[in-house]
Amino acid sequence: MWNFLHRFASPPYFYRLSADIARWTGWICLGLLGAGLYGGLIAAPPDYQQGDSYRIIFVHVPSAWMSLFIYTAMAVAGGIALIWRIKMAEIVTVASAPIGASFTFLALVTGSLWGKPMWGTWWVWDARLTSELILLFLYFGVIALSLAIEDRRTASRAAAILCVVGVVNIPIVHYSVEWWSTLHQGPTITKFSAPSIHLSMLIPLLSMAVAFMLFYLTVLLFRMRCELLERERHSRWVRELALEPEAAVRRV
Amino acid sequence: MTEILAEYFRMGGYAFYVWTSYAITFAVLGLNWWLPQRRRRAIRRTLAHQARLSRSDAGSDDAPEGSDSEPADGSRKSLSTPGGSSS
Repeated sequence: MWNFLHRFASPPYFYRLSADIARWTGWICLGLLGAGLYGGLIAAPPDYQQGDSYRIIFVHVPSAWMSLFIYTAMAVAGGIALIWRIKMAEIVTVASAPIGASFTFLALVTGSLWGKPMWGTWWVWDARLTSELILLFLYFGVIALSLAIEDRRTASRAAAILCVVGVVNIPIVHYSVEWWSTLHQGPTITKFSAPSIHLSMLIPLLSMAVAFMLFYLTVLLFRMRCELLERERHSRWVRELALEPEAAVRRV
Repeated sequence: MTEILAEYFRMGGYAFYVWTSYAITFAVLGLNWWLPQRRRRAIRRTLAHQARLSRSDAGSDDAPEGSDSEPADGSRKSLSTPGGSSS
């Protein structure tokens, strides 16, 4: 296991293997996305209180979960990058930020589109919505920091520090609906008793959640490959790669 | 048949909210998928271009092909020319 991880962290090996992994995760993601869409938009019945508007849940909730998960993953990778100076961990932190920002943006926008018909307003300054907005700004901060400094390694270390500091916001987002009285409904899935959602809705929801997770992994690999090529452009393996014929460029 | 479809797309009166949510979601996911691939192809084109430049330079300096030694100063310059540190 450690041996594999060690080899996986070597840039040329990672660059070759990540193409194969991304292909697999990409196809499984597509399959689960199709299943989740069918289950959520066609097979599941309308909600007895919210009618068909609840169908937004199938994109809103997985996006919100991913917004929290990706930030936590960035903070862990950032911590590893700061303590052990592992180059791959730095790249994970920097490459995750735009994907996490996308999911946070989606959680906010689809939540707003759900809030309008259900609550009668696009936006309220309550604890859940405000802390999620702060999360979006934290993502923007990480992206801005990693672009603002010329030297790549210094830039990613600065971004990693912001990640680790900002992780304090994650429990605030998660528990905001319990700590403060908010307009946002409480958790339906992650509470300890049986989830208060019918199986015909739970299965497509989980299918979409796994699909979004695989989507993150796939796009993370895409972005890490770009970062690697740019950072290692003077190294021998990238120069050898550059000599391969043009047709190979499309594939790897 | 068309009535059933029309009723379906009406989403019980919530058509605007439901379909806008899904459209925005898949637009954002699509961009996330496409942009890194485009970026990687651009990087590889730049790298291939630089590799050709440095090879034609090295050829005149009779450096053995595929040798590990540092290329002559002319080719070294070309590695850090246009687009080297950008993008």
